[in-house]
Amino acid sequence: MAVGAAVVLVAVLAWLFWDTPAKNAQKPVNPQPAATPLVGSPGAFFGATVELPQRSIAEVAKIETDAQSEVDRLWPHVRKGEPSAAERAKVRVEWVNFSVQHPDNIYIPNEFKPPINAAEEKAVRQQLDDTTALVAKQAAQKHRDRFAQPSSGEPAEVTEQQARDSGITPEQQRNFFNYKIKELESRIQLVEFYVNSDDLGASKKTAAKKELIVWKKELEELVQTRAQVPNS
Amino acid sequence: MKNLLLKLLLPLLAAATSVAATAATQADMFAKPGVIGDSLSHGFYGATVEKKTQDWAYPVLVTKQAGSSLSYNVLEGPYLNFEDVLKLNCGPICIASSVLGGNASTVALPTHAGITGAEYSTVLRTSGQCEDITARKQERQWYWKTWYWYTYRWVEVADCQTPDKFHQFGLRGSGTQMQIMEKVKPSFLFGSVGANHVLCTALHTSLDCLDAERFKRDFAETMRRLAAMGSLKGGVIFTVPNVTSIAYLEKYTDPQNRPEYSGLKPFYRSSVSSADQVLDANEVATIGSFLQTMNNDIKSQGAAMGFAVADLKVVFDDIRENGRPITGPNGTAPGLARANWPLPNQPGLFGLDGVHPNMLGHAVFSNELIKSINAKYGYTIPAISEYSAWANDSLNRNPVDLKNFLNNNLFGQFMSWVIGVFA
Repeated sequence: MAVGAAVVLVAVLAWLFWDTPAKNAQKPVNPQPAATPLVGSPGAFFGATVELPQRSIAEVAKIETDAQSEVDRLWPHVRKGEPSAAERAKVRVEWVNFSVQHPDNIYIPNEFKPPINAAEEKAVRQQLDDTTALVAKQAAQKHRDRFAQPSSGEPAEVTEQQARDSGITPEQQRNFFNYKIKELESRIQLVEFYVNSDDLGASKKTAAKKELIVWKKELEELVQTRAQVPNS
Repeated sequence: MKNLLLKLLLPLLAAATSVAATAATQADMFAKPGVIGDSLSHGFYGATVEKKTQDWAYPVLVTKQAGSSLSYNVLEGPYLNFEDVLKLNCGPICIASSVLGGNASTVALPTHAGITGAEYSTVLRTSGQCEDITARKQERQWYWKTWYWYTYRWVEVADCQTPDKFHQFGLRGSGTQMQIMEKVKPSFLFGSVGANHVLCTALHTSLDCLDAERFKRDFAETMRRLAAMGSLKGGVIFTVPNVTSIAYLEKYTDPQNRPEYSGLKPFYRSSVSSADQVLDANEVATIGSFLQTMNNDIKSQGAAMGFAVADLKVVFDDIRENGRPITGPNGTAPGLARANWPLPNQPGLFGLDGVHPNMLGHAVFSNELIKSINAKYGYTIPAISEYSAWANDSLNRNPVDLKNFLNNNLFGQFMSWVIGVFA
């Protein structure tokens, strides 16, 4: 019964919606393709415009109010706005004070450091290449063994020759350890600077001190491992 | 005659369709939304999670548009917002505080449990307190065997290793993402946690992390447990975009034309000294085929769960190819937004790591999900103004070309951190 009714309904609908050639011939054809929005011209934040119908002042005001309420609702941080000139000045003072104490800290922005020459820039890029290559390797290994169980045993030992044969070089390893040590020292300096400032509460201070103990131990391990890297 | 019949039948047909499609009203469906997810849902943004980025993450936007809300532990780190650091909005004190990380505010039981770095395996296993709640170890237990003999035996106990800080601060004492959902019993679920099963290949330029069997097993188990809750009226899930076409990777041709040294390399590498540092054509093909199998699984499981399935792989491919037009209400057109970080006069959908969406990217992402939810359930959740998102996105308003900062010493740690988070 239900199947029969469905068949009848489908047939009626097919008849109703069937487009005959005569009907198609009567359809108006849009002579123009839709306008393509233009891309902003160089140097201008807002680009050219697409043609839209003229709107009254009241309509435009309503659109703007609605848009603002959407922004307030979805992105509440926007109301806060960009940092004020005073806030930015405070940050600059902090950097100046910090860089006097720790001129080699890698967290200091380039603006507060002397410019580097081409050779130094090349060395920085090489260190970036070597460090990220090793970090990616470590990450891949960690990901693979993330859920390894003790029953699967420990990874097979790698000899120095095997490591060298696989392309690992002392220069690359030294570059990596140098960067990791520099970064960790810099991070420790940064957090110690923070701990010594008046800007943190008791619980944050405790967390910071706990973290510093862990990082200092990690630093010691990295320094010891770097000492094992042969000259060639 | 035909017109008359059409006029009579159409409202009836529309009503029938609407009853079938909206067995649950929009209000019922979004009475209690819940989220499992990864860095995309968490709001990870170059290279941290903080209140503003959590607020602009796609589940929060879609839920607000649907007239509901989510609750979550608000983070202030770990690590740093690179955009703020480069723009000198964040000084040493601000960086130190953010590097340490913590909570700006907390909730007893979050309904949004998406966490940076998560995948379906960690949804089941990683809580805010233990990296793997199923891990076991042997422990010596001392006891009185009899009244005269004090001895020990080996017993198996939980091996609870502290998880990463995103899990610690994001989930706290509430359990794993799955356990949280089982307590929340959501009516609607954002259920996408697939990306990190394959994104790792792009970040590590290696296939080592691909584990089809683990994905299949843990995805199926997650869906099984979600269905068993009995509370879900619907949800949304999306396919994983092609991770080999994200801005993080760029084409590289070996000067000596060695095929295994040519392909895709991370954008910041100045040279390639080992085949490990590129994804060659064969590796890209393997990732493509893994993605296809994975996305087919996502589509079929999503459909079986009665979820809306958004094919974001197709959307992303289209954006990659053609850009996303952004047009303002008064006709202003900043241009086509590209699948890259913004540049002067070129809007972009991604943050500075070339992996994660910025505020505009999340709005675009949300609109695609809204479209898919509306189509599946017959709702009329309004779209978000992508123009407003663009106009208020700090990175789009004031772009930073990251390639000018590659000689910044901090850049290595920024990238190392991003790579490490998704290990």
